Amino acid sequence: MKSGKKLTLALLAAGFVGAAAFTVSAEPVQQEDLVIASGSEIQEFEQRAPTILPPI
Amino acid sequence: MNIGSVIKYYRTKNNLTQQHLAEGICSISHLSKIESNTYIPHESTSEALLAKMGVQWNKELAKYNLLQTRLGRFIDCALYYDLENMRMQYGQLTLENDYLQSTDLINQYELFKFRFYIAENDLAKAERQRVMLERLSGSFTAPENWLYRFFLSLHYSMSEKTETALKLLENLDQGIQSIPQKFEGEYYYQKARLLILRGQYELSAHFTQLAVQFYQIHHNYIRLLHAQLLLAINYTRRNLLMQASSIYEVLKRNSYLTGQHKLYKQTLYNYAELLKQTRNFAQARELLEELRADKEIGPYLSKAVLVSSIEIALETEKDPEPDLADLKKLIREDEEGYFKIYATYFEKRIFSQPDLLAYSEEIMFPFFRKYGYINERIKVAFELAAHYQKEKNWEKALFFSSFNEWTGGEII
Repeated sequence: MKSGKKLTLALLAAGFVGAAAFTVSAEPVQQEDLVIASGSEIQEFEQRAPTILPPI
Repeated sequence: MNIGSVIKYYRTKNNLTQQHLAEGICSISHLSKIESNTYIPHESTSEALLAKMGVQWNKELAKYNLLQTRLGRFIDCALYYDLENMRMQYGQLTLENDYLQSTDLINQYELFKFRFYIAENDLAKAERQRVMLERLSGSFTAPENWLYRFFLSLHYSMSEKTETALKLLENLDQGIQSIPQKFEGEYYYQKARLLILRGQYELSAHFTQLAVQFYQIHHNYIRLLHAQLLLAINYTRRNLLMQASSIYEVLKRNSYLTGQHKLYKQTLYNYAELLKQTRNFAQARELLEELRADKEIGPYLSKAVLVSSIEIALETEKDPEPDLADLKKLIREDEEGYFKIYATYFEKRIFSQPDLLAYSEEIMFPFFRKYGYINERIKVAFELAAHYQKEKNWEKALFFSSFNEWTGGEII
């Protein structure tokens, strides 16, 4: 058995069924991808009205 | 209680000189030392001095204890957010102002007054009191000093200096300093409130939970409602919409039932924010309509409701112009601030799209940066970064994208 197959079997045995999800892309990273790291601040609705907090 | 201060208070009140009062009882220099509390007199001496002015020591002690109790009640009103009662207590205490000035209760009295002016949202009086307390601060005991810095943080919070306020608070539970037991809930609440403004929602939720627990244990129901509103806003911002929605339902009912009208309106307004996020515009509009029908919601909430209504109109492709016109009517000519910025923003968005970007970059972004509007700054920076990324202007794209974090890219 090739070592690659052994590793896959070992991963499956250990419960890493989703291991295939970790794929490595050989494509070069685009500069655009680097500029904005995440969209964590984007919400479905862009709220402009202020949030009114309870009193101090 | 310092007997020397009491003797001095009554001597001055009776227009007596030290020579006159000391005559036949003790020397002038002796009296002078007693009055400055550098010497504790023999019981017979103090009794003779007070008797000469018709003052009974037992009655004095009783008066002192009464004022101490009143001061306790005064600050409890702030802790339980019982403003009406606090005003009444303030009125009673000011009648004893001169006497309080002569006792060692003066520091507490002046500190609690500072908290009162903050609760009343009276910036001018609070500022005057701050200057006065700074002079007194040399004589503060350790707990008084803690209170001074805590109230100072609230004062900054009130003047929208979020970062300075937070820095002060963060130093208050470090090292050998501990939070006075009575103020624990208040400390968590104020910290959670400021962390929301800074956009640190997870940490804010942690402190809000602590505040909620404290208020529940101490049956502090009004502050509990305030803490719950913070939590609902927090969940909304973190997209935990089911949780937020159930808190809003509870808050709506309880603020109404407890007669907390202002809080009820704030709840409706913030609930509309959540409904907009889930694109439930019809229900959001219904809540905003209820607020618009209310003639007593005050200028700030009126403007906020209009901004919110304009957003809904834009999203649902209805005509936003009538609301925009109403908003502009409410904004004073000389007003420079959040609503003026947004009124112009919407105007440009509706009528002259090409100007919008320049306006965002040249006016809005510097404004939010200058006045510490962290969330707004992040939002505008994000849009500008996206734009310059599209234009392949990498230098500007990188500059604006660096603001996409809680510090807003500022080094604090």
